[in-house]
Amino acid sequence: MTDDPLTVRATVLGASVFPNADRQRLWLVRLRVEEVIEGELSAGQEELSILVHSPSRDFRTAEPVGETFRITLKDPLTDPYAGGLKIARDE
Amino acid sequence: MPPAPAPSAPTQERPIARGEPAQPVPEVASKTWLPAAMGYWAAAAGRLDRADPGTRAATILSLQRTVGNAAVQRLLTQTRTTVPVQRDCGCGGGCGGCGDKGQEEPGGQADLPVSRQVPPVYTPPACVLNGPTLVDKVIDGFKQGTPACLFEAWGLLNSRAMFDLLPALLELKNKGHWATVAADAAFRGGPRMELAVHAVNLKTQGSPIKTDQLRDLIDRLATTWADQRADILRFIGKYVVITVEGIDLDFSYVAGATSKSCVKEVQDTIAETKFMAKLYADCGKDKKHKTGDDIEACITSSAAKLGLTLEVAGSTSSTGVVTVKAVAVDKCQPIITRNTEIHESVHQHHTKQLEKKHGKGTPAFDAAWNEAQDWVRDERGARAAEIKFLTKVLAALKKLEKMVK
Repeated sequence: MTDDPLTVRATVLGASVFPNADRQRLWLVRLRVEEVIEGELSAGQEELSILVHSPSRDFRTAEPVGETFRITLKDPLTDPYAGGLKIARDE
Repeated sequence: MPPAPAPSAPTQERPIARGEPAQPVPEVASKTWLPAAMGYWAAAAGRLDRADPGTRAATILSLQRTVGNAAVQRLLTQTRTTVPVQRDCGCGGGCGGCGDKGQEEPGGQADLPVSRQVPPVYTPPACVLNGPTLVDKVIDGFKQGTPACLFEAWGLLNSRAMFDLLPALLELKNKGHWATVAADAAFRGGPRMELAVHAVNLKTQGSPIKTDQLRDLIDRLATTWADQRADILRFIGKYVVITVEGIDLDFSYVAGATSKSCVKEVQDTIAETKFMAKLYADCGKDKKHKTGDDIEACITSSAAKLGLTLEVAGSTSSTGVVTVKAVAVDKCQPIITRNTEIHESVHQHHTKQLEKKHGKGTPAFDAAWNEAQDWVRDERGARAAEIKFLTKVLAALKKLEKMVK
């Protein structure tokens, strides 16, 4: 695994409150990775967890669960991921 | 006079609890590998099978205390009963040279690839507990008194949800087995069992629960899940609840003998929310900000100028994995969690409005969604909903506080 940005096609599996020290990002969103578009992901890793401010606002849809997005993780991976994000619809 | 409970000396080499006796054990017949969804647990069980008896017993006991005995038993049973037998040579082994002997050579399995190794087969429970009810089975385990039977009996108790455990313990007390329960609760049950035992003692003390006893209990409840706190308070007849926007506030949120009331944390959260709302308002006033991203960048930089870092970096574990830790369960967390849900409901409602107006995923939706002033209004609306909720919580907590006295 490198520290290069990682871009994946991923489906939102669920979102729940994840109390943590980052008070601006208290939602944990679980993703199923459908495809690694750019960058590297550990072999066998099929899911990612990311912290967001608001599932509906960050994913630009009132009901993101079950939908697939193109997601770029700009910073080195953490567990859960708490770095910069770019989320776009899977066109 | 009930029979005296059997002695239960702690031992480091407790036999392992197996499947519950009442459940039939399926034959080893499946030729498919474990379902992928069970992969993690199967791996864990595989490690358990290879662990030394002490480690294995401790791990199973720990799992029973956390995920419950029923889940542990299902796991152990599944991993032992759905294993495939994939062998190539006539002797039934995948080893070279066993054909003449008609059986696998000792240690042969160790030479196989992991994917071809056959996990140990299911073996019957080390102790069978008899009785028509859970409590009867537990009592039978106490009477048999062997380490295996005590392990089985406590496994049954540990597997129960709090609302089910409390009456079971009460029945054990009424049937004269309290000495065994009280003596072993910490060792074989853990903190949750100790808490339940304490609740049963309060309920059966024969006199009304005094204020200082209730305050002490509130301290003990602080690190317990909210639903279990409610179960305990209901069991002892002290469940007074005020529901505020979907959260049931009870005595567990007020001051204990040593722990503080949640009033202070709620007040702090209100102050923080007001501060953030003002930051958004200020950033919104700057007309050079055109998008939501511009606003968020302004928020981060404004906070930094005030010496605040909004984003928190993870910490690196010994294995090199950077982890963002969840806040540990504490007394007031359920209130803060509900507050976060209320904040989100405002964003979700607004997103639905935009979808209705512009169409989901359309360019017009994207433009409206990312427009700076709309972004600020949405965020301030979410903060206002938080303040409204938290203010109601404060009032409810103050009412509850007066009722404890």
